[in-house]
Amino acid sequence: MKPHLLYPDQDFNIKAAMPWNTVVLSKDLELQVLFDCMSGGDELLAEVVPGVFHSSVENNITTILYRQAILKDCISFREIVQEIYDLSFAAIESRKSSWLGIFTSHATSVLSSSVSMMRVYAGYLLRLRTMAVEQGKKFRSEGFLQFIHTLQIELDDAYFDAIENNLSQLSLKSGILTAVRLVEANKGGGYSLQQYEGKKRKWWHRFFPPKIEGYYFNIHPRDESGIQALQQINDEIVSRAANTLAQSNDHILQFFTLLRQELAFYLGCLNLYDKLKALGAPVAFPVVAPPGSPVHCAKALYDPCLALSMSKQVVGNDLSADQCRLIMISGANQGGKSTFLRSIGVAQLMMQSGMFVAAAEYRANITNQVFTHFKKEEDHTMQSGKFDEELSRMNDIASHIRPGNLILFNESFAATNEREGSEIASQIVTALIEKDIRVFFVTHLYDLALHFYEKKSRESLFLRAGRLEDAGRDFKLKEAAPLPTSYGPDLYRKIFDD
Amino acid sequence: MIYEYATGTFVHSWHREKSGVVKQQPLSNKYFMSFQSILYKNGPPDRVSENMPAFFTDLHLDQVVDKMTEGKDEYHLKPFFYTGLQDADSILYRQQVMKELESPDIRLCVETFARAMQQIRKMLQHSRNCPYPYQRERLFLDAVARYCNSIGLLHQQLQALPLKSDGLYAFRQYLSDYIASEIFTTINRKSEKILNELGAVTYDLHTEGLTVRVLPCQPQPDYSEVTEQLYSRFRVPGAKDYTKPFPFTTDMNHVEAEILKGVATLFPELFQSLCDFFTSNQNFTDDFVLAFDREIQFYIACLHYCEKIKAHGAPFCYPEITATAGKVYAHETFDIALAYKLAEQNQPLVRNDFMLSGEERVIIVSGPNQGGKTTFARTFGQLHYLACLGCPVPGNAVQVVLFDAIYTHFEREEDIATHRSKFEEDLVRIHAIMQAASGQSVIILNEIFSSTTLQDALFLCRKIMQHLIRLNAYCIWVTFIDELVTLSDTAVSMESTVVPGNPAARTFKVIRKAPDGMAYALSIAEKYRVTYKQLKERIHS
Repeated sequence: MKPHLLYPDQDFNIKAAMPWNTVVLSKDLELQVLFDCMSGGDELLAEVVPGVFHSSVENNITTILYRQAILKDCISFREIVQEIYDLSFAAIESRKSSWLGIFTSHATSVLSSSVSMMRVYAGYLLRLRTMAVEQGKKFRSEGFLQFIHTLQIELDDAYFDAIENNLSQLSLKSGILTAVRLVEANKGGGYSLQQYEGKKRKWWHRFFPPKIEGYYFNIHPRDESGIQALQQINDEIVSRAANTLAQSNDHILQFFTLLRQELAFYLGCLNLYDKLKALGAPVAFPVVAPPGSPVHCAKALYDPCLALSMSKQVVGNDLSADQCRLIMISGANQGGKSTFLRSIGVAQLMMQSGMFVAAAEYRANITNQVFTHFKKEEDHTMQSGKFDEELSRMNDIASHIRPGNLILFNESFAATNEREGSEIASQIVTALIEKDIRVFFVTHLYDLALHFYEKKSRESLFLRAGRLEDAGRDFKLKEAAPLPTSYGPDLYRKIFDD
Repeated sequence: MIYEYATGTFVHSWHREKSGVVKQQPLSNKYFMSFQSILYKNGPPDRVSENMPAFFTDLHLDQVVDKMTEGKDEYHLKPFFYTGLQDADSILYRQQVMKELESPDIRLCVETFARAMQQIRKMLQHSRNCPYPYQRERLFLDAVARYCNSIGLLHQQLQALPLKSDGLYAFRQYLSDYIASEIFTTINRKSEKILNELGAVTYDLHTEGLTVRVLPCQPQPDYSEVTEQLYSRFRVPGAKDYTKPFPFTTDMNHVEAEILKGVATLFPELFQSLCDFFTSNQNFTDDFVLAFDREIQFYIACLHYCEKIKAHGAPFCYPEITATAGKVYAHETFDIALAYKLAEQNQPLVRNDFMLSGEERVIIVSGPNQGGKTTFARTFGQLHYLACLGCPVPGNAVQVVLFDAIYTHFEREEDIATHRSKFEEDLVRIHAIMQAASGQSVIILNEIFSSTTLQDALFLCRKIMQHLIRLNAYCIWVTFIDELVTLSDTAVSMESTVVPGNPAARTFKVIRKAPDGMAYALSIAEKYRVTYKQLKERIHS
């Protein structure tokens, strides 16, 4: 029994290994801002959200669409989702008070503990099924419908009756009956637990016990070794049933845990949704294109992390880069180039996660890896060492990158003189795009930009951070040929106020 | 050897004879003639020494035997090692068996049998210590069944093997007859029958609180199975296993014993027949089989030890034994106690040759100290003794002479404080040896009189030499007085050697060469460039 709310065919694994560049990606794209907003201070959400987010690069289109549909249901019927989430939370918490089996090695104790635990779980499962079936009629998504269907099929009333029957038998109120074989050394072995309905006790039996039939003996209450020996036999008899029940409890616990984790992601999405809506920023479910011919279009694409940290709506950019493998961005300092680069990366990851994106419209191919190669701000002094470090990072990337991937360069290879940097960068970029890798490159390197611009390739797009006539930035990028100078003097003047 | 139920021990026949117990008669005269003992062609000797011979320590044979019998205390093997054989036939009988046991197939089936017998002894021990009659009888029955099976298996396995040695061949013949005997077939059949019936016993057990009921079996489906089915939809691979192991032990507690009593009330006839079997089959073992089980360990112990050394490349062989004095020789031989240690430490071993032919009787060993002289002397003694036990000996191509006794005289270091008494004691001991030894003895002397003055030593050694010449016994004599060899044609000289050009490095090779007291001194002089020639050259005029 699986919730399967994140993947149509597999469980969410919170302990799964993250892609190798997770840390770099989080830092370069400032994802923590996004995660903090999504988790809203909830510990579980804070753990689940980044896990789902980073593992999203492995998702296929089916999974993305599967999640989009579920998320849409969540947005429409958030109370029901919250209720299911709360119920799974309560079920998980109930173990703390009901489950004592972990403290004992006696199978009989494991059994009795498991019986009461199962009673509690069965109660929660019944509540879950009832709620889901009643409330879930409105759901449209395949994921939720399948989930409800599973509950209906696996947990029908007859099954709950059978469980109740089994639990009352395994409470062993009338003692333990077992079939035994005589084995080596005349010992008992091959214990086989038997169903046993004890005779109904009348009240007077307490004072006048009925005659016991057959051969029997009593162990003296102070015969400790005898009691221990009997315990040992009882343990061996019920060992298998105890194991079955304890394992079933584990599975149910795992079911609720998974349910809670998987829903936690959607609750995180709802948090973000609410926040962005509150800022008046647009959100949209992206159109997912399969790998292949480049698709990359956006309207009012913005960096949600920037919007969240500034707590206001920020300027969005449009992008129309279908058929483009290289998008080279140059232009004014502080003209929103890095922000644009981040918005591309974040949008890609959000799309891959099955989320809405921070844009009015978004359309892109899926990719199974996103790479960033951002200029490191620290370490200004050692120029040569820095260039070395940049190439070393490029080396790491090169050992992981594959055709169809997306890579974002931010002021890369500028830690040397312009000519060298341009030459290296153009060699790298040329190789990447020829390998069918989508390259976004923010650069001051005029030689580099010019090199590609002069090729007049249809597969290249050149954007420039523009300026309004009053020399204030509007943070909008426009399609334009690269210019030999950036807008540094503007900034100089602004800051030095002359 | 027989198992005495009353005392719970295996009693060897020689013990029992002492204690007046009548020795069990063999099944028939036929076996009596053909199979006596796997160790003794003509049956066990009247007396086997329980005491270690005097020379064992000097030859390091005590270490060897300790190692060989390590972990085999239950077989009480040491007396076999303490008693050498006196005739070539008996030695050959053992050599054949020993050779045959080198074959892995034969060894395996003998060792399997030995392990089974060990278990049977444990089972009987367990049965004897068991306070609950129904279990005691069952444990006994299990042991008997195991015994019958093991004997059957051993016989079956031996039948499939081409046995060449007189000893094993005769034993197999004995086993065939034993297995076909009335005694064996009866207990085998009875024990199997009761075991089968016990194996089919089932009953119901009901426990409630502290009350335990034993009821006739009324089969129902296994409720654990039913439960598993019910929860199968919650089952996933790799789930945590909550079952704790219930290791099976044959030990029984009083609750189980009470339950067993209850089971006996359900099957009174079966348990009665178990009881009858127990009382009427107390002496179910066969003396010859039990003796075989013990004695065969002599061979196993020996072979294990030799194989460990062989694994490091040192050879063993079966020596030729001559009854009369003639050639005595060994190629590539070595001290087995040292070889064992070196094998454990994975260090190389030096092997030596020697030969005495015609009238030669005495080897005078001299040469630099720490050069392997004493080891060489020990090797000589070990070779002879191992040969008379019927064991493989170190080396390839070995011939030794049958001897009546081995006498050793090794320096005793602990007496150094009292010089005079030690010297006296040395003389006393030498005297005793010369008195006791015959022409068929083997004598090993190691650095005698080293604590006295050269003059005295020379004198005494000459005297001893004269005695030896008169005795005409085989002797190896480690001494610094190498001119002893000139005293008789029957003496030959061997020397420990050093690496040429590096007198400090020993080769541990002891080689036969004319006494040449200067060779060693010369090599040292050369090393320090103070030989005549060297000095002439170095000292410029």
